Amino acid sequence: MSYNFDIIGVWSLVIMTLSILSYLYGDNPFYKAAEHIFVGVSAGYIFAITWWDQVWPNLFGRLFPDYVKAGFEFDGLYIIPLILGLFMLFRLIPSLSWLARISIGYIVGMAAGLKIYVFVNSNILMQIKNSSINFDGSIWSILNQFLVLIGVISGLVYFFFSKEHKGTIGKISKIGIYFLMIKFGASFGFAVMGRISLLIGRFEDLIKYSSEQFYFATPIIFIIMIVVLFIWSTQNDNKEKTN
Amino acid sequence: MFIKRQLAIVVMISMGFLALAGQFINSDNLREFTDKDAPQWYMIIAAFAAFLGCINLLQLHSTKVIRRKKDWQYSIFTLVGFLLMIFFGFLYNGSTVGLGPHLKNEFSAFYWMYNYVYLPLSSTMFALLAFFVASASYRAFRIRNFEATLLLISGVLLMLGRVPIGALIPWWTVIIIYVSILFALFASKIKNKQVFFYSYFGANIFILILGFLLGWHVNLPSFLSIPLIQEWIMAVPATAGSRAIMIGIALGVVAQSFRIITGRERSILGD
Amino acid sequence: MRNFLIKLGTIDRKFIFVLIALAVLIPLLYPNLIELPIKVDKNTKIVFNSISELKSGDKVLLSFAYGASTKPEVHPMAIALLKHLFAKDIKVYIVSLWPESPIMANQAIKEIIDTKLFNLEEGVDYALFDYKTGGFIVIKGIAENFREVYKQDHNGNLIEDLTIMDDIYSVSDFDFVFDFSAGVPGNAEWVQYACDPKKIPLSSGCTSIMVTDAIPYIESGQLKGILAGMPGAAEYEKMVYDLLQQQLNKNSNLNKDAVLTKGKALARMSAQSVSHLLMVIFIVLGNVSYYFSRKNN
Repeated sequence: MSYNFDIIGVWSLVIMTLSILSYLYGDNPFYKAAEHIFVGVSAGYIFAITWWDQVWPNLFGRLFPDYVKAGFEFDGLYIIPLILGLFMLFRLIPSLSWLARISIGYIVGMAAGLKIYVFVNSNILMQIKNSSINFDGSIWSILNQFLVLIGVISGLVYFFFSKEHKGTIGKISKIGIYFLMIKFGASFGFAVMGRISLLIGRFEDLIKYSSEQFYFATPIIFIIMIVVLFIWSTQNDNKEKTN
Repeated sequence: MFIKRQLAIVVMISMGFLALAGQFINSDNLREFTDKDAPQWYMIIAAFAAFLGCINLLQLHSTKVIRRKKDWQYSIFTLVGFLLMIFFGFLYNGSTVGLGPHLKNEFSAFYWMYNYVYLPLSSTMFALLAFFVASASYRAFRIRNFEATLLLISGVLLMLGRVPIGALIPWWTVIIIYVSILFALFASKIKNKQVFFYSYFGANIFILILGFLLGWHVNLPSFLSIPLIQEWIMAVPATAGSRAIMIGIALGVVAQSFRIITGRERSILGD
Repeated sequence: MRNFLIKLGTIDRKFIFVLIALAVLIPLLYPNLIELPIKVDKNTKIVFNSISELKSGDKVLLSFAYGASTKPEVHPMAIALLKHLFAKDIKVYIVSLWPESPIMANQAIKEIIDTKLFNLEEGVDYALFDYKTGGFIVIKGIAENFREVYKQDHNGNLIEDLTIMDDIYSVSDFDFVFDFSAGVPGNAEWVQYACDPKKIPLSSGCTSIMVTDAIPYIESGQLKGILAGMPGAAEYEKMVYDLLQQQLNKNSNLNKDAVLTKGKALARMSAQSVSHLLMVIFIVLGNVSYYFSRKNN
């Protein structure tokens, strides 16, 4: 007997989607089960893809090039990251967990060393440079650049907590707050936009899979879920009443 | 004792200095290490950190099932999901390509699990937030002070300006919005309600008539177009606010990185 | 009336959920009910013009740094950009910085091939590379030495055997970098570790939530414009569709009998618009109710 795995897959997709959406009704077994499946499947996904895309070619491809055939030549020095990687796993063994600190030290140290340079260059110097005013533009362009400069300086004054925000400093930091509030409002607007976009994507899938081609997956599963949730919530209410 | 306590700090300081020095010192051997091998080692160790997370998860949920802790039944779903992905990722292929490339092959069992189990769960988790954002906006987003008003106006103008409906809002509606905001800010200063409402309506009618006379209904000025207002908000005040935050964060990162490189910051290693 | 407005502020949130669901569902079920004209944002125009300035044979590096959770926002812009690039006979190199990105990249390429708009050959017109852990370190590795990070493409073919990889050794050998991102690593890391130090033009398409954090880079020119979320994708789709519509039967890179279809993001904009309007109404009503309840107290 052969199975149409695509149809089975579609029904699985609809069940997963509606299970997560059932949280809108309240925490329930469908949502909890889907949440736990998500955690397990995503961990398994990351494990597999990290092994096959990173560790297998880049590490074992250098230690056993003739077997792995990833295009690298033998490099014995790569025993060091293998050892440091295993040290990382020793975090699970209490008596050996101190070894993981060496691996973490490598990662943290290297990241810190790189970040100093790039953050100073891209996030400080370039930003200060581009906050300056170019007087070659139109009057509106110059006015806008002035506003940006005032906003940046007053925003930075707000974040300066070594002096109390009183008097002139207080007034400047108040202006800074206004600019920051506009930024946060813009962030809020974009956040709403982003979430609605993702919801549209999910609803599109549910609409697509409610057709006859997919055996009316969405409406059937939706109705079954409503019925089961109704029975479950009634039983829950009765249990609470008897308690 | 040195190995247990100090070696990790020595490694952290050494790698920090090497990585930083690689940006400034023009030595072939140093550059060879910092540009080629050191990043590769970093990637490999980071991969093992991902494995650690996965194994820790396995350990956690297995303990929950064995010891029958609260909601242990759901942990079975986690373990089954994880083991299935491992099975399809390492043992059972289902496609015509070899193990490894099969992860991205649409005929493999692993891809099926990704497409029909992982993808809907992941997408819907994020999409769920749309409902809660809407509920929070309705119930919690309140104009309590001038700063909150700025936040609200900026958010509303952005939400309307970034979608096609923003361009359809007529110029006279935008004028009414401007006048309403102005009067909302000065509402507390006008004690007499009658004076307030008469001046509000009067201001609206006056500016609308002025607009018609100036031909704003024909040549729309940019300050009456919500999409253009939104562009200005993004280009000027939002940029200023974001830039201030970016510079502030960068200064903090540089300070923290300096502390790490000089061995002063040990909390990261678990001290 | 006053009591009604006060009560309005305390309605059950399930009612709000239903209204949001309807605001999204109805425009999707009846797409022709509301047809709204798309107005292109300044930053989308900058992206489009930057890509239009590239010449045939130029090399563009695409970074896929998003996954299933943000696919509705970012994937449509990836499809539109790929169409734009292939229509100009630009060589495309795809790297993946998130664990899910290789699948997203594969799906994007497959969708392009299924349109039958172009005759594409892997290894000649485009190349895909696997996911590597490390985030910003991968970007730094690509910036310094591409061939140390990737020895093979995603099918296991050696880089030396791929025609498209001739003369590619680091990010400096590319004419443009475009990043599709949904978080970290993303456009900020490309600015910091690759494009600023090596002075390579960079642009980005990202989720809406990332835009305000990227805006300083845009205004300083470190990013050449940005495609902001689904509206940005819809705008770019429209521009590319109009361009290809004009070039059909004139551009030798486009197949003569191919059928041009509008992208997915365009179709979703009416649902997006109605939902945003509803959100604004919620905020206004909530504040009106708050105002009257404060007066009452």
